[in-house]
Formats: sequence, structure tokens, C-alpha cells
Amino acid sequence: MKVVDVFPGSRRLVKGVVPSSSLLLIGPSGVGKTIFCKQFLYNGLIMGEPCIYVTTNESPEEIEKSMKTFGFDVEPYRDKKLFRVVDGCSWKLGGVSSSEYSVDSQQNYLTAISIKIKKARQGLKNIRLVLDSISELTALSNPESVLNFLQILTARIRLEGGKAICTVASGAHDEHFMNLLRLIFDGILEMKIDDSGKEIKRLLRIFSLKGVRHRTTWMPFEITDKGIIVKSETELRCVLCSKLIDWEPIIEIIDGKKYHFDSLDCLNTYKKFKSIYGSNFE
Amino acid sequence: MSKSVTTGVSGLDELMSGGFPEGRVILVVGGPGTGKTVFASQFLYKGINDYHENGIFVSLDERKDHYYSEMQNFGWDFKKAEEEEKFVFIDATRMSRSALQKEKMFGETSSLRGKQLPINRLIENLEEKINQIDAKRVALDTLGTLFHRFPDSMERRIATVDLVESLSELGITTIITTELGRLGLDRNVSIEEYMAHGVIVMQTLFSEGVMSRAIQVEKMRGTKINPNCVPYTIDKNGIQIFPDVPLFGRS
Repeated sequence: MKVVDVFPGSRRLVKGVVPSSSLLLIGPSGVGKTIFCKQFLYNGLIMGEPCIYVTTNESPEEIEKSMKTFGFDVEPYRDKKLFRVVDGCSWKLGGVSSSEYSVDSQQNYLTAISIKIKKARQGLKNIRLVLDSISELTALSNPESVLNFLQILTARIRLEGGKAICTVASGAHDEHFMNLLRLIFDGILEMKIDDSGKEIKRLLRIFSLKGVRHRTTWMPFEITDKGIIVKSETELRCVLCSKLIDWEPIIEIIDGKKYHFDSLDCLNTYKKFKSIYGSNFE
Repeated sequence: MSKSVTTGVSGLDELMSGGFPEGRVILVVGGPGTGKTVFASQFLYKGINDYHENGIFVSLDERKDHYYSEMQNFGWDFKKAEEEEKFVFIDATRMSRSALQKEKMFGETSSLRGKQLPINRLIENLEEKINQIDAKRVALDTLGTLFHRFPDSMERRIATVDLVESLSELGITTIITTELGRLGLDRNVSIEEYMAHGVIVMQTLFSEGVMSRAIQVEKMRGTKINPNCVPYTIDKNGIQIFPDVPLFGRS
């Protein structure tokens, strides 16, 4: 089975297994938060994990269409009810939603979203959930209610062993709200744009992530037609398998020369070959 | 503690340790459009369909055909249930009218002045039907309509006491719906609320121009309850209550 990132760049950013957790994704508008979330969900679907997309600003059709442009075809998963959209968007426009988990006007917005998430979770285990975005929630509800809502949502995810990413626009909220928000989540992902050069550069870092070792440096990433690609800082390749080394390389000095390996297996295989073929083996 | 009757309203049993106390009178209070009739009908229909408990609907303001077609929207086929002798619809308005005509034919006009009479007849008729189909659940919708016949507060008091007492004596789990005098929780507690064994309040709250449907088990004698106001929705499957979803946006 193909190994895929839990979220874009996770193998490069996190050492070991990404724990079940709720992540807050902070970044300016246009940096790529939404596509990051969509890729996170699609990777989950490939791995057989059911996904719930809670949207405040896109209709289910728009989501599917935009995902398809990156090659993320969710239609078969939607038909199998493994991809469910909690539509908090269509209602605002007074339209009819194609989603059976569409928010209606019988309840306050946050209560209605809570009810639809509850319905969408029914019968699913190990879910991946995206909420895009928190900033839109605060436009319709007071900040205290939004924090309370997110607290309950992340606690449920934690209890049931799922994974969630919620997005928030940087610079759109006061410091007090942002600090309280950061407290709620198990991990913080940050995105920023560096426009000091000729072209804008997009950067991603893990500010914090509980229970696992991770890089804390800003990593450049690109939005390609296959989604987000997080670039390696060093572009080091394994001497044996020539794979890009995601995490720290295993360094071995053989005959006074420094070699980089992706894993211990590669190192041991290399040594074996060396013992068979002698010093001419490169 | 008495035996509990599963309400058939999704999420409600969780608010009151398993259901309504068996054989008691429960008052469902709510403003117009809150879904009192749907609530009462769901209690009856689920009883018939899911728990083999036959039911009787006493209507004080709606005609049978109209009621049947309205309940079809929720997929509840009361007409079929009636044909299978699991359900009886008592058109109380018509009953009292025909009772009047019957009295006229037999010349017993003297007794017509007593406004107590329709209630006695109603109870008699109900008792007969209960025995006929071995009913375990009764719903009366809605008490407010009956009160229009008793504009005098003293008369109304007597009529209410009479009705609730008579229904209690039948020993059948009964839902009585009634209108709210005023919207909101600060309403005056009325006589029927004192008399009923349980009170459930259905409300439409407004905050910043947004509506929220909220339900609360205000009282349920002999039963442990969760007295919080919780959200509910009405859709094609009827009423669904969400005890574990907080009610956001309450001012």
C-alpha cells in the first residue's frame, strides 16, 4: 500500500506516527489553508478513514469541484458515505443544499452545526474532520460561544481517537481570542507568506504538537496541480535507495567517507553489499 | 418508582431516566408552531408501531382527515392503524356537538346548561374506546381550545381539575398539550401545571434575530430528570431532541 502523509508534509515534519489530535491551522488568507485541509481529508480517504468536512463558505459542489482540480476525486467516497459535508454555507445564501447534513434555520448557527456534525458522525469511527473556518463562525456567533463549541468538538475528537484540523485567519482576531483558541488544540500549524524576494514563498511550520517529536523550522511549500508539496530543506537522498530523506538521515562514516541513509535497513543492506562486493561497491 | 414508558421521541428518554412514568398525566406546554401536536402524535405512533401499545388521539381543534394527511408528512399512517384497530381518533368538537343534538332529540334540554357535561361525556367516550382497543397511550390536543368554552376563570379552574383528575383516574399514560400564555420561561404557572405529574416545555427562543427550538423537562414526579433546556429539531422523521448538544446563543 502506498504510504501517504497524514497531512501535507507530515512525514517531513513529524518524527514517527502523527497522534490522534486536533490541530489549529493559522495563516493569512490565500496562503493555502483550505487546500491543505482538503489534502488532509483526501489522504484520509485513501487510507480508508471516513471524513467529515464542515464548511462555512463553500457549497458541497464547490468543494468537490475544487478538490478535483488537484486530482482529489471524492465522488466515490461520497457515494459510499465515507465523505460527508456538513454544509453551513448554502443556508446563508437561502439555497437548498445537496448535503443531507445541511444546516437549517431551526437553530442558532453553532447549535445547528453541532447537531449536523453529530448526525454526520453517526456510524463512523476514526474520523478525520475539517472545519473551515473558525473566522467565519465568529462572524455569526460571539467569541465565547465559538470557543465553547470548539472545546466540545476537540474533546469529542480526542475521546474517540479521530483527527481534526480547524482553520483560522491570522490577523482577523484579537490576541485574547487567539491565545484562548491556541489552548484548545493539541497542536498548532502555522502558515505564512514571504514576499521579500521576486516571487512569493509559502512557508509552513509546526509550532507545537503534543506527544511527538517534530521540526519547528519554517519549511517552504508549493501549491502544485497535485496539491501541496512541502519541500525538504536539504534534499538529501539515501545512498542505497536514493529516496529523499524525510527526517534526520542516518550518518555512517565508512572508510573515512560520510554516507547518508534513509533507515537502518538501508545502512545494513549497504554494509552487506559492501562486504560481498568489496571496496569497489558504490 | 413506577415503570417507565418509552416516549418514542428521540433523545427525550435520556432526559428523564428512561421515559414517562406509566399511567400518569404529562402536560406539554408550548407556543404556536413549537410542535406540540407532532410531539403528542409521535408518542402515540411510536407506541403503536414500535412498542405494540395502542393509542387514542383526542382532538379538540383538528378534523380527522386533516390530521391524518398532516401526519402522513412524517410517514405516520394513522389511517392504517385505525383500520387495524390499534388507534382511535376522537373528534371532540364534533362529539360535543352531536351530544347536544342527541340531548335535544330526547328533550333533555335542562342538563345542557351545565358546562361540565362535555367533559363527562368526553371521559365516558374515551373510557369506552380505551377498553375497546386496549389502549395504553392517550393524547389530548389541545387544552387551550377547550378553555375557549370556559371564559370564566372559576369555571375554567373547575373544568381543568375535572379533566386532569378524570384522566389521571383512567390510569393510562396521557399527554395533554396546552398553549403557552406567554412566550418565555417567566410565564405564570397555571393550575394544570400543578396538577399534572409531569410538565414538558417547548419553546422558540430568539437571539439576535435567530430562532432556536428548545425543550425542557420542567417536572416529572418520581423520576430523575435533566432539567436543562436542550435543542430539538422537527423534520420529516418528526421530533428529535439532542440532550448532549449545548444550546448556543442564549442571551
